[in-house]
Amino acid sequence: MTNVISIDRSIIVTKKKSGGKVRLILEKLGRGGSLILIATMFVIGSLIALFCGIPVKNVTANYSYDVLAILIVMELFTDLIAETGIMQLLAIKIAELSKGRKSMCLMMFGGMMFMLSSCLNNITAVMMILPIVFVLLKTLEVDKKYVCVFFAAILSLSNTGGAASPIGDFPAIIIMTSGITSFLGYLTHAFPLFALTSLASAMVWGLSVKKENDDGAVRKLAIMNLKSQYKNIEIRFDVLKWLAVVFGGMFLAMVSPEIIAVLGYVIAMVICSVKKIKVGQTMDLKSVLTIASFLFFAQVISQTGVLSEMAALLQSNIENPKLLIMAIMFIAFVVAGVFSAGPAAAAMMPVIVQICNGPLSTQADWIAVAYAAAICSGSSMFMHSATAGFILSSKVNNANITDEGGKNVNWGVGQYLKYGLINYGIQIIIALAVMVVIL
Amino acid sequence: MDMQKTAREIGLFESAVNLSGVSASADVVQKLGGSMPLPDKGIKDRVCSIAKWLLGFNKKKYMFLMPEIAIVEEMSRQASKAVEAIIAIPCDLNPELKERLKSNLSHDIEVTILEEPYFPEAFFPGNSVMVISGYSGGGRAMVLHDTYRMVEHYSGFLGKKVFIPYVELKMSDRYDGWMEMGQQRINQKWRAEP
Repeated sequence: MTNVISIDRSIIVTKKKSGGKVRLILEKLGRGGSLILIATMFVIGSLIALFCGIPVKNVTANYSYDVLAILIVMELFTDLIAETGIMQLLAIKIAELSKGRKSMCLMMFGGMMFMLSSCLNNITAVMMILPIVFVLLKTLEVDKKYVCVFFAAILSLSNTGGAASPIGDFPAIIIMTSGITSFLGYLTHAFPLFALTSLASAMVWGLSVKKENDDGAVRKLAIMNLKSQYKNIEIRFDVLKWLAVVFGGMFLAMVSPEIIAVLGYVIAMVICSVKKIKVGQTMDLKSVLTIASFLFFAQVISQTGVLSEMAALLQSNIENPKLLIMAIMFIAFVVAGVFSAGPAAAAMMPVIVQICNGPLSTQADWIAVAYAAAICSGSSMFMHSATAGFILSSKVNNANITDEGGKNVNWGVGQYLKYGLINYGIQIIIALAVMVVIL
Repeated sequence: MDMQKTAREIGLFESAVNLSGVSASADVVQKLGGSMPLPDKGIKDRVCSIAKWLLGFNKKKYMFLMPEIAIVEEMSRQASKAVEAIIAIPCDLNPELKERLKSNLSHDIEVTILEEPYFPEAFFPGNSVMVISGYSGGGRAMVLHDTYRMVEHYSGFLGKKVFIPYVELKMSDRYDGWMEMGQQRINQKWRAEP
């Protein structure tokens, strides 16, 4: 009998081991995937430059270093804000205001996500609210459908928030630094459109959540437990007010954004050091390198003249400006869906610049916004194309959120697809409708 | 909702204070009644009197085997001299939860976190007390798994070991996830005055 048990166990162990190996390889591939992509983009870009006889000097002279500077600085700035504890306070207030009602939680956290993403990098914004969201969801007793709807809305609103301001996400930074629009020009045109889109998304997802059929006591308890879990966390308002002043100053400053970003960060860092707040010096360079590689690739392609020809071709074949913009939006959305938001923005930017320098120069601000909206909707369609998609998915899956039956709820590429299509539909319909009316 | 998990982060007494506000609800009784005994309305008074009782030992260090933030806060309010609370946390506690717990400690009293299996420094019978929390059922001291393990791990401490129940049941009802602690492990039990 003992032998039988030991044989069975060995089979189980072997099975587990083989399953584990496959998972390990996939995990390693997943981890190294983006690095392979970065290397590929640099190598292909270099080869094209070599074969087309494009001098490296020309590529580096027009390279958008400012995009990388802003990206790095914004991520470091966000770390400083996170150290003040303000995010926890906001999230708890939202949980309290929603009274634990699932639809309200979704809409209010979605709103918070939009506002945060418009000021901070999407990934960082997501990472800031997730710990509290997980604690709340674990205590609220959610089912699989709610988890899928909730995070689909969060992902969509992080994208719209990122596109709403010139510093919210990689595409917006790339558009702003391209020179086709100004900081305030982009902000005043993009923010209302993306705020409207976000409101519509939050309403659609919020209203799709079933109303609770209980007396509310368990939800009340969940909120009380959440408050207890954060009751002694210190909010550094003394530091926060100075950071807000610096951040506001960065918004209002009219000189080159990368210099302002670096200056702003230096001032914020000094304030935090004086007030004895931990100044984090670490950041994930993978996203910066990804953008760097695509910017390099896009610059090489731009130097070949292919993109100028493509822009000229579009302009000569489509005379109606509205149709031209819609054609650009369609191409941008496909590229963003396939390659993800940041790289798509970098790759297509030379075409947009070319078009904005042509007869449509008076509508440059709206073209910039239309381009951002197309990228935003394309990147909301698939998990891999959203800036914060994979990070959000891995965090949700590692959070061990369980349904009523005690089963772990997974949220991945397959689960997001259906919701992604709806996100895309909402965003593109609103963007197209606005463009048809305005242009 | 897993109240036992919540209790691992905020302690049994804070969880009980939260529960007492909604314990009349049929939903709460149905969903949570099986995981831990539901407290009565007088739990806040119980926290006050337990804090007073603990301070009455006149020791400098109080080592809690659960993160009883409610008791520690009440002690900070009542203490007339400096006392130190040591909160022992289980070795298998989720790192994220551990970080949250560390940043959620009271600022009005000296609180240190001790990670199992380490031992506290300068923790002697003359200056310290070990505080074990749980519930009592029919006179039996019931504790959660982690607490049970830590009581055994720190059994070498020869000073005072006290048991503070957040609820005292007349019957010896058993709840899932709770274990009975040997009476020889405790020197003194807190009891509500009749």
